[in-house]
Amino acid sequence: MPPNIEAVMARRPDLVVLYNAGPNVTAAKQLERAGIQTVLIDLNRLEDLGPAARTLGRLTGRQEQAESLAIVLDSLAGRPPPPSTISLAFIVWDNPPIVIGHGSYLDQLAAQAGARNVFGDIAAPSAQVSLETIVARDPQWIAVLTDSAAMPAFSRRREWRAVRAVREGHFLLLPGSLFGRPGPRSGEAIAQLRARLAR
Amino acid sequence: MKWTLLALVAVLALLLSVVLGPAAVPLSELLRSDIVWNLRAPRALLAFLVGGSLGVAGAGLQALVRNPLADPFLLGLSGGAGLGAVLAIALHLPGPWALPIAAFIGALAALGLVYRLGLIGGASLDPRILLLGGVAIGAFAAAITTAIVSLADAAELRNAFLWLWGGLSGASWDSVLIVALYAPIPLAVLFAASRPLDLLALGEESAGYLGADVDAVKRRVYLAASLLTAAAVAVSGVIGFVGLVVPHIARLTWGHRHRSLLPAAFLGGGALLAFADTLARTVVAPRELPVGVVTALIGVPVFALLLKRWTIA
Amino acid sequence: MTAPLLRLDGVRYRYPGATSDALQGVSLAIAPREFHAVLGPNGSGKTTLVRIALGAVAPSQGQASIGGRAAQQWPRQDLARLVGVVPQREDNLFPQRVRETVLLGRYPHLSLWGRERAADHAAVDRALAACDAQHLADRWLWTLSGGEYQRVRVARALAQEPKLLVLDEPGMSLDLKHEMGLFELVLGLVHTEGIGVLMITHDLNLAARFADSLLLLEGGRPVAAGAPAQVLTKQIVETVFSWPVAMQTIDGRPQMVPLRQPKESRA
Repeated sequence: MPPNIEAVMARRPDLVVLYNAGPNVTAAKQLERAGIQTVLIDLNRLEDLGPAARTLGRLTGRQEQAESLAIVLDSLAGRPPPPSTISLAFIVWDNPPIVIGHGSYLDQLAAQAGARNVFGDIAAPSAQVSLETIVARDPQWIAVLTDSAAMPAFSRRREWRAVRAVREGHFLLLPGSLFGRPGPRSGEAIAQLRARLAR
Repeated sequence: MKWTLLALVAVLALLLSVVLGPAAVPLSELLRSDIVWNLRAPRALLAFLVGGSLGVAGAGLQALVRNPLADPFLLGLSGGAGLGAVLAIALHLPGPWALPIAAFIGALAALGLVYRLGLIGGASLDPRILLLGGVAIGAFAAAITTAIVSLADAAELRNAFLWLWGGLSGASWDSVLIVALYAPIPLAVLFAASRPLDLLALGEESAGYLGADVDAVKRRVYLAASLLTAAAVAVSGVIGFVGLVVPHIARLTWGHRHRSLLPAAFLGGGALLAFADTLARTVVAPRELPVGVVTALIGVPVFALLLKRWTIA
Repeated sequence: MTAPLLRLDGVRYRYPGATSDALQGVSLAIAPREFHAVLGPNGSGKTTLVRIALGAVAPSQGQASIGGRAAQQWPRQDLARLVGVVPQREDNLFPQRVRETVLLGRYPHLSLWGRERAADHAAVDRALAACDAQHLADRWLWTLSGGEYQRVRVARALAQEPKLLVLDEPGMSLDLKHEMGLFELVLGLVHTEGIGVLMITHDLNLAARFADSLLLLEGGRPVAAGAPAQVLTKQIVETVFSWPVAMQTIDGRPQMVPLRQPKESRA
């Protein structure tokens, strides 16, 4: 949803940071015209973390702290992924089944945690697939972004039980705050994922 | 002869649905395959039942509102179903059947409202008001749905729109059983109305003078067609063009006598949707297209051809 | 003596929300082999009369009965076996052939799931023959002329094998030849098939030539009823239609000829 320009202006901020997409681009222009310093930040993949940190450091006059953070984040992105020993699939929606494809943030996380995304051959960040494709590719784990601790509702649907990981209850429930988007805690996310897969 | 051909086409469509798919299942393993028995077979049957129901509902509706451009989804049901589905997600209703049940209830609510509007002129349903009311209620529901989606927590709700675009992903032996038990009743009501529907083509006044109980027939046909459509939406989202185009294609060969038109529309609609679903699953494998997109892509050129034929006739 | 086919007794009707009656004190009785015509200026209540007579609408006062039974109580399908109606307008939505559309007239005789039998097709052939339309049987409706289409509609009503035929302004928009042909057809049916006929028409002269009995309405009230010679008099016509006429007699029936009224003489 686009930001409420008036509400933002009323707070008289020194700096407005916006995620670079969609209606935010127009909002950024409007804020700039109103004389408020605005920056659009790309934050889609691990590689975006370092530059984002540097940009924020520059704009807030805290370049040193930003640089030290950026170096850590760059190394996170630059690290060659370990060999994958486990297969998984990210299911974002169940009807119709939407999976995460290659190159998106979650796909990168999986690779860094030593897991292979069975839908890594799909070039798009997310895509609709047939249930039978999921069954045929037989991922060992199904990863779901959710803040709930309960198994997702679709695990009880008869057609989903054709998927082995669903039958065996091999679900990775990933909280959105940590896994939803690249951020300074991405390293922690990778470590957590690796630990859970090892169990 | 033409019935034999239609039956063959139907069987072929079902076979293709079972044999083809993004997961390569070799023919030798077809009968033992888990994918075939638990996923493709129920999905093929569900496609057939839903497509057939939409074909019959469309034919009945076109006769009722005396408008060959009527589609079951003009009745406002898809708007109601979408709103129901989105509410189910936004309110985090529990259970694997929450979404279809909520969609069905939403569709019924829209049905009730449009029906009530249709009776505004008196005891006799006014088909023009049914159409206009359906479009209005559908638009109203869609607007509320969009508002909820834009105000609430983004991602999950946006995916609800994908569901609405139509898909048979939720097909299982459970859903096939439910539809197979539910659909025969409204289908039987529509088949039984075959003769009155023939008479209705002459106009309500003439139909009455030829012995049709016009008010009762209108109510029954409207409710039966709507109930079929509501179930179709709940189970598989909005799949357009099947209800609009299949009756016209059937009329080209079987004419206007509903006694043969309705069964032909059932078999034709079933075959079309099964075939469209096979295409949806295979043309961009491993990805899948929403089946509503495929039926529109097939339906629009066919519709253009039909229009051409109509204007020539 | 059997009950008349159709009977109206002192029928009065007012449309909901209207300030005056559409029909008032109308009575009528039609027996087999009788040709009745109902006449009157526009808005005199002719079509309302048909609706009440056929039980589509209940009269505010008085009774309408068919075959001795209240018109409103007849189940639609049973009534359609007794009365064949050719309404003013028909809006056939889908393309059809003549034979198919006449076959629709057999529907009152068919059971819910039953198919048409040989007897039904024979009835269709007979109806087409009686209307002199057999040669049109395989034509598409949209290729017919107005007169031909009208004959087909009468054939459809005949296919119902009714005892009473009701026609509402059947001659409207027909040219002379076809209108005469239609009246001859209807009179012929009265004699050969023995049916009763109720025809609404605005054509005074043709009604007087062919019908046995006339009912003249004005503003919903019956002005005159009975044999044509009693109803179509100079005085009555001039009063009801507010126009000067001269009367002639042809075939023993009164015919009216409207007189000119140029502007200058209407001072």
